[in-house]
Amino acid sequence: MKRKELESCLQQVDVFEKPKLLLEQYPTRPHIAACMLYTIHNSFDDIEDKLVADLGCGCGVLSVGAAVLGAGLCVGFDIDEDALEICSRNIEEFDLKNIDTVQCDVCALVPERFSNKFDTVIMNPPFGTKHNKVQDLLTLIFGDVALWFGTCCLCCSKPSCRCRLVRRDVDVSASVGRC
Amino acid sequence: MGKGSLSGITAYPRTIDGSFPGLQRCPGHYGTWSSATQPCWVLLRMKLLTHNMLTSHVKGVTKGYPLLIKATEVKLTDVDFNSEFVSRMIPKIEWSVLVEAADTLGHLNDLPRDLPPDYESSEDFLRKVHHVLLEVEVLEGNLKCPESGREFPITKGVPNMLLNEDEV
Repeated sequence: MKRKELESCLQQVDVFEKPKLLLEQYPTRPHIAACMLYTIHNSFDDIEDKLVADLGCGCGVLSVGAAVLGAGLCVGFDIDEDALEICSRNIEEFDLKNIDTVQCDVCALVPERFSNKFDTVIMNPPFGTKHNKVQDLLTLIFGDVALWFGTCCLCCSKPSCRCRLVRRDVDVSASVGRC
Repeated sequence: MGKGSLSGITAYPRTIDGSFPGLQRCPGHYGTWSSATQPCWVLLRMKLLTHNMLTSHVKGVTKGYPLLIKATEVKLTDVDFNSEFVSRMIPKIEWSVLVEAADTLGHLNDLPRDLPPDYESSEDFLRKVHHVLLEVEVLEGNLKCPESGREFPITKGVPNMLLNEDEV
């Protein structure tokens, strides 16, 4: 599947109807999601036939992308049931059998218990860009949790639109590219 | 075939008025679409592979694993078999927990309770594991923390692991 095909596929994902400011909800743009997923799929083979976690999945843009690229199973975690409702709708409409979702507070998880369970973590987590002091911690917590889960890839959608890839085994942060 | 699905991709681009040509609105389900030949609404699910990963994080709980499944609605589905994925998952999961969960749901069939040493080479065995990991789905029920007794509900296949303030 070409990157452009993936991108146009992701453009059809339903997004938040009433985004919640405090949860820093916004949909991951199809272009950046496609860039990120395509790179980790092609350059690192971290999606196909892998167990993938999407922390803060929201409407499921990244999860749908991972599933379409052939993830063995993608599990989306999000705190908001309205977002998960939209995510479920997307999963149904795309007829995807390899996505599960779990409603939970990622920050309240005990990350050690998830040690090495997942192959890959993809996420576009809250970054504290909405004037909420509590949220400044969230990036760190999400990052922390993600590193326990497995090899991971971050995505920063605003404002610089750059994807960061963090791989535990390589121990290097590589900038995947500006989209 | 759903929109955007991979095999034989059929794209359903939205038109200006927000509709999808060739599809119709599912009556009674706001915002959902289906082709006439497809079932209108498919409930989501929790697979046993997902269950195998989840733990309870109620305050004071030391392990919170495994969560006991009480299912009121279970569904079987068809998922493409991938032997490589299944044999890679086996070392990652807790085998006894998977067996127990499958047994609780009444779908253990003839899956052995002990992991055979040469499982990677047995396609027959891997297919049985595939079935239990990915094709048995819990739609409704709850997950019970083995230490605190706290029950986490599963609604439309989504387990709700959110804690109350006094439990964190």
